[in-house]
Amino acid sequence: MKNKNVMIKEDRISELPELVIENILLRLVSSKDRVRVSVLSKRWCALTASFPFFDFNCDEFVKGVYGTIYNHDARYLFYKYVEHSVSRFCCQQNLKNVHTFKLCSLFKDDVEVGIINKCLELILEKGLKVLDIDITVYPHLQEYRLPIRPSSRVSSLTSLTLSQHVLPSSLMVDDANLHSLKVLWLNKVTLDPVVTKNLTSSCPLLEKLIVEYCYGVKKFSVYGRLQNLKKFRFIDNKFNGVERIDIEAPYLYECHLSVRPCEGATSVKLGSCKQLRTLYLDGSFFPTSIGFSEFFNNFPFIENLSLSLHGQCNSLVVSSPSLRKFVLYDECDLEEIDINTPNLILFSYANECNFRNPCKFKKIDLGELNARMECHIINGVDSLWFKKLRQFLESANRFKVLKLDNSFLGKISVDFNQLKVTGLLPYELEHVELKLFQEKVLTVLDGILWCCRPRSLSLTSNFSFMSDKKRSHFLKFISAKLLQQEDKGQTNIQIEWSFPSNAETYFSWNSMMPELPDHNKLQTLTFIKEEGPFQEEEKNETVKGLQMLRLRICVIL
Amino acid sequence: MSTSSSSSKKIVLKSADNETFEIDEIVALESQAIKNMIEDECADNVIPLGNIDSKTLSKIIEYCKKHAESPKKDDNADIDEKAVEDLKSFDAEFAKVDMPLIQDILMAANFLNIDNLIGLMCRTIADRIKGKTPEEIRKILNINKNDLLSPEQEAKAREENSWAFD
Repeated sequence: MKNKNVMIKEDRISELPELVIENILLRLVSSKDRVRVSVLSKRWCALTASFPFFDFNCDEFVKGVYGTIYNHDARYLFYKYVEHSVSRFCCQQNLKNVHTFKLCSLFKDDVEVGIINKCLELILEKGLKVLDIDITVYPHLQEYRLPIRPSSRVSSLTSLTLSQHVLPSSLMVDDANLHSLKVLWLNKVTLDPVVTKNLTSSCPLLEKLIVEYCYGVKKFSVYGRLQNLKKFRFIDNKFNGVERIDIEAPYLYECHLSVRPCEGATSVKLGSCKQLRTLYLDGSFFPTSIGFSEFFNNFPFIENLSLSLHGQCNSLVVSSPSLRKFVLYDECDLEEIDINTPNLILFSYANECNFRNPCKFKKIDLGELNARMECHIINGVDSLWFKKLRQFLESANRFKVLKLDNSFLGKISVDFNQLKVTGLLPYELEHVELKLFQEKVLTVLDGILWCCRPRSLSLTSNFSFMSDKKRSHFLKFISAKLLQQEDKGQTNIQIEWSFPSNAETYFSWNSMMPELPDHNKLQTLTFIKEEGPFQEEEKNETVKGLQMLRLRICVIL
Repeated sequence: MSTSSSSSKKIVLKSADNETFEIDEIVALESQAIKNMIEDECADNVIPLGNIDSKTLSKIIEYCKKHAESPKKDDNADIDEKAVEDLKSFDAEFAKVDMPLIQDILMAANFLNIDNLIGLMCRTIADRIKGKTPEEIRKILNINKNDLLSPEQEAKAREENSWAFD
């Protein structure tokens, strides 16, 4: 039996299989650490020398050695280090295939170009799988082309990432021999339709295609069907103005298109992509709203849609039985959005389209029945906006939860009297969440409570600068506002404070002004408006048909 | 012998110090090695793990339980960020043990072929040797003194990349 109290244990790490130690090496990202472990022992020395993952980052290196990224001597050391590592690897007796070669650097002179070219030529002979090259070239040097020749063994590559330079001519030919490639990522690379065609037709196994900020792209078309393509992302260079995007990929799952305004709209064809689940569109794509509807009908299984349709669309019809989440960044008015989506659980809306990076679709922790609408107010809102919101909620007739987010400082001006004269009853909701600055809470609350009658309400705000007295007054005021929506004398208010992170209540009920634990931390203030919850049986006898109202107010302190 | 035919199938693991652990099959399947044994039907009711002590084994079971009950990552599915966060903080807590135990867990995880756990332990080791000098790392990992480079070899290696040793 093993004695667990033995203090001195043998060196078992070094006895682990090579793959496990390589796993550790893989997680040592700094060049300094990698070099340091190479002198630990003979075993570590041998393992680091034959380690088939190269990841050279000039900025990281220079910073690691000199603490600043601007240092010519350190750049010299960097290239020497790259050269040394590669040649040491190639001298190994049981030569392995290289798995990964990543290089992120800057070329200042031909010597540096020469060193890297020599290394790449060596590496490309070694069955490389992942190649990731990001090189900036000083203006006085020639454009840099990767030394990939027709004879280079690129057929083993599964992932190719090229940034900021010219494609090697060997990749521009009819058959670039990239038969294993699954991921192709082109960033700031000059492309033309022929190159695109050749490149994509050379990669029959391509699963992920990313084209970002590339130059010279007026049309992006992938001819022939990419049978394996699952993800496609195209982000336009700001000078391009792409006219046409054409993809044939029957199994495309996720598509993200972001284009710059050009003359007229960008025409986009994803006709064969019947399996599409997630679609992001940012730019001017459809001259008319009918254009969008027709386009959107192509995707019978679509679940997530993010739209930022610029300018020309003044009304929008989104109709889909499968759609579950819909994010809209747009200037078009709420009343002009027609949503016919029986399975929608989230609708998020921002009234200005300045999102270059659309939000990720995440799973939301909500009962499926509580369809949720989120409004991100970037521009201001006024009484008219609330009127439209009210109408929209009613016509959509889906939403049970409303969230209003004004962390972007949009101006809010609501004239309550103007709303009151409409005579409309508030729309019934399960829950309302507000996230805005404390100064705006009361203004917005008027609009919200005119617009809807929530069974619960949460409020996230900055209450840090409120005095105790003011806060107390504030809480009472909000309580009163909510009580106004209910029948007189049948509703009570309960207050809870908690940390919003884990929603753990640390204070409950009676005293309106608890000692706050830490003013720098986020806190949740929960108002619970209840009707006889404590002795239910007794109350049931005395007061009939009462409903419990929960009022939740989160406070950032 | 009792037939434990409850809703989920049970697997019994036996540590080197003869302690037995009854776990749900789904938890045991986190180990690729055990999974293969079960699939090849060469697993008896009790699986003896002669090279893993009970302290290490109970740690490993704790890990597998948590990971078995968490939703699996799927490239195409929605990302459940809450579950991901939860698992992350579990892993961070789990790794807060001393180096000998980390090494034990790593050896055992390697033997049982539990990919995520190997990764977690390797990351933990990497984190602990980051920014340290070779001398410090030798101490942390308890590197075998009989396997050191000769003084000449080491001096040469240091010379070649002297920038890394300042």
